[in-house]
Amino acid sequence: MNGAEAKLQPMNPERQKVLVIDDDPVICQFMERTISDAGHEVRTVPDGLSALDVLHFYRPDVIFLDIVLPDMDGRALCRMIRGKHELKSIYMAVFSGILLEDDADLSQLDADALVAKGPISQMDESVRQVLMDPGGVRKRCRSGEIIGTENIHPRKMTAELLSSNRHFNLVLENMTQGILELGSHGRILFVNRAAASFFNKSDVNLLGRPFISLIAERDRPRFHGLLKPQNAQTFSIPDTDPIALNDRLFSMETLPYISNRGHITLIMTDITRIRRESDARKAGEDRVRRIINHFSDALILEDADGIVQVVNPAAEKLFDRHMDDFIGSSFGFPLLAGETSELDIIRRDGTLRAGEMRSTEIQWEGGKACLAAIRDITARKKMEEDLRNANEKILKQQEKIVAEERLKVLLQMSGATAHELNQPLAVLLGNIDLMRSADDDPKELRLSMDEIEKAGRRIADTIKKIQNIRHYETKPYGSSSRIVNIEQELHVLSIEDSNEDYEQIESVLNSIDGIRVSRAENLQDGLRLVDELSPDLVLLDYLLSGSDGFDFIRALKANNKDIPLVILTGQGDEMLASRLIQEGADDYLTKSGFDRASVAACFLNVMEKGKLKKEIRTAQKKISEMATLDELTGLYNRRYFMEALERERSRAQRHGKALSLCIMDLDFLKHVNDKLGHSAGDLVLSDMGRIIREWSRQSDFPCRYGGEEFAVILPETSLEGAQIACERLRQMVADNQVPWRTGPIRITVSIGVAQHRINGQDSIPKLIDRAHKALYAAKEAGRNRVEARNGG
Amino acid sequence: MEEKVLLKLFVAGNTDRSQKAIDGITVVFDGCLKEKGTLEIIDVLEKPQLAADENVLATPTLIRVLPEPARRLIGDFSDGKRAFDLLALPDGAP
Repeated sequence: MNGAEAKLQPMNPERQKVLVIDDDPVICQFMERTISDAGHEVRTVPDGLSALDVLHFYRPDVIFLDIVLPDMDGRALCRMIRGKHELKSIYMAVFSGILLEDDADLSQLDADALVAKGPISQMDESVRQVLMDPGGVRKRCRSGEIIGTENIHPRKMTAELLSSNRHFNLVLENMTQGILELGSHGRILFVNRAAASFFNKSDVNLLGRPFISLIAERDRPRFHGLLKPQNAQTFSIPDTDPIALNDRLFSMETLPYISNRGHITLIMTDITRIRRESDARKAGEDRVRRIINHFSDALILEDADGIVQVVNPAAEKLFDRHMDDFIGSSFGFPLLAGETSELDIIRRDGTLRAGEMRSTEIQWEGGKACLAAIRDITARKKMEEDLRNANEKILKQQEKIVAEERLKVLLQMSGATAHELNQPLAVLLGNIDLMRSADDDPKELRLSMDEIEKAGRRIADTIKKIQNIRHYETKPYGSSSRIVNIEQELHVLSIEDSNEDYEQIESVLNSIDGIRVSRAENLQDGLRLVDELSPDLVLLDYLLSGSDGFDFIRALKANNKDIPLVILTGQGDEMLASRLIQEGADDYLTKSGFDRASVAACFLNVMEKGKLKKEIRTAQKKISEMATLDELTGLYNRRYFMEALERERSRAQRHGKALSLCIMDLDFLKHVNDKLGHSAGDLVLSDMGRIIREWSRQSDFPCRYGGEEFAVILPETSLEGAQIACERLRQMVADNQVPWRTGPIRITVSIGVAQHRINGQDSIPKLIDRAHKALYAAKEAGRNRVEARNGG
Repeated sequence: MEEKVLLKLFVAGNTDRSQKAIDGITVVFDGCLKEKGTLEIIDVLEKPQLAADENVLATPTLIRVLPEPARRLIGDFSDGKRAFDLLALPDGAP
């Protein structure tokens, strides 16, 4: 992997030879100036082909290379340079644009450094670092850094963009017409699958080749026009006079425009089996129609006059309209070909849906046409909206909680106040008694009178405080002092052992519209009826004989019942009520204040709170479902893992690339949990997450598979490569110490590796199963080791 | 251009997307066509019938009603010049 590590000759930091490969003239100019100002020798070339030419006679120490080049793929260029023995030792710094995120990383490129392509002011410093300290930069890049973007996480930023690009490329790839892009010198820069098959060659063999070399000698004169930009637009090989290639017949045409880089797009249509001209067109159309009909995105094809010719069933569904509503009229020519734009789709009933549109030009009925692909993103938008709303609700709920907390404090204050009142009252009454018994002693009388007066003042002060409290306490209920507007019937279960009290409760509750009341006479019955009747609210008398309201709350919670609970207390039990609220009751009412207005206000408040709690739970669930990361380890979660594995598997299948999967399990984590507690176990897990993140390449998908199991998807990695990498990981884990207050924890990991089989009927469950079997084998062979399952 | 110009821009509701389209088109229109042409901005939520009359199926849509033949564009109009270019309208570019 590290071919560049073994450098043949050390660089001279004083004066180095530099080659810059970038098609952006501004960047080239800037690099030329910066590098030559620093006393180095520099050359710039605009594309990969020129670079290969220059490298014949100019041997640089350092190459700065843009991965997105106008002609060939920068990755391919990287590999080509590394592949040549005499160029092996060149230090390669790759400019990282966002496209790099697609599927390349440093080790795959076999480059030495990644430098962010950004504002020139930032690049200045990055380039300087590469030239001053190439070894240090290489080390940083090897550990995952991109020079110049320390604080940016490009993968996240571009994931959405990339998925759009792929989606669009899929349309191109699946077209049965061949698409070729030719550079200004007539070399092939892009071929789609169909075009490659026309030439019986893989796309890799075609890229960079002069197009004309693929054409039989006798036909070459017909292509003279194609290679002159001023004539390219009118170039065509008509159906009536096709070109023969590998025993097949083709017509060819160019797109009517030449890209700003002078590139030509050539469309090839296979007309071999078609005898007559009209049949040729029809068959071609039929093929396009078939693709269109099976596409899950809405597709609309407009001819050059902007008239809709074809729409697919997905479009009928998305727009809720019949084909006739489109065909023959104009839908609108997509403004930005090749870019995404968002649309509001007007359905027949006037409702709107959100759509994301991409478009491409294709050949249709002998003319140019535009194919627009529209994807329904309403659900995505709705999800975003829901999350925003849920967030707002949570914020509101927080405000409510603050108000409730204040109420609790007030409750406790009033409980304390009752206590404060009791003491001076006792003094007062005691002194009155004393006065009665000592009414003949004026001195005693005087003292008692003084005591009574003092106690009276204290009582008066306390009452003033209580009045203040009442004033605050009514505030949170302020707006709900109106009588019940509970829309549905509210079923209340009253747990009350005193018949007298229950009569009062029943008469008040029955006077409120929409409330139905049932009764339980003790806690056991109460719990049973909660199950049987599923009431909406429980009203519990705290002063039940022989039992304790706390038990009831605990029992409710143990049964996972989230039913709103209101405590009924006697006068002076507010301290208890506030403790019950802390235990999980929702509100309290006093027997003396048990009237229509306060009951209605209290129930309304409690029900509202219950509803909010439920909504918050739903929102939290939704948030966690949308999350892709495991919180403890910072790795992808299992749900994302399954998605990524599916995606990577089909990519591997499509491109015939290797794909490996490793599943690992920490050895004896249970011992750590048992001996040091679960927080130590959690620390070990989170440290394991850190090690896996450090170890994995950017293209890998490190995931927490569950409990103490981890899984990593290794795209474009053979079984042998994966084994070597996993062995390195095993060693890293074994060497690691997790700091803990009773001394560092050491742990080992067992790893099972399996490779996806491209041939045959391999499936994801089978792949996971093989990796698991390898893991068991590693466990059985004594743990702290890597085992692989090959095929079998 | 001597001919009279009539443009209709259809948007849906007062969203960011609508506002971008309105801004993008108005800037170029005001700069180049204000004297000779008319620009109608239509919210399909307020006037669904107008959208139905023109068979507008998605927004933002820009229709060049005059000069004939009518042409229409759909998509992101934040770059109004590009739209005017495609509709062969003067866009102030030299």
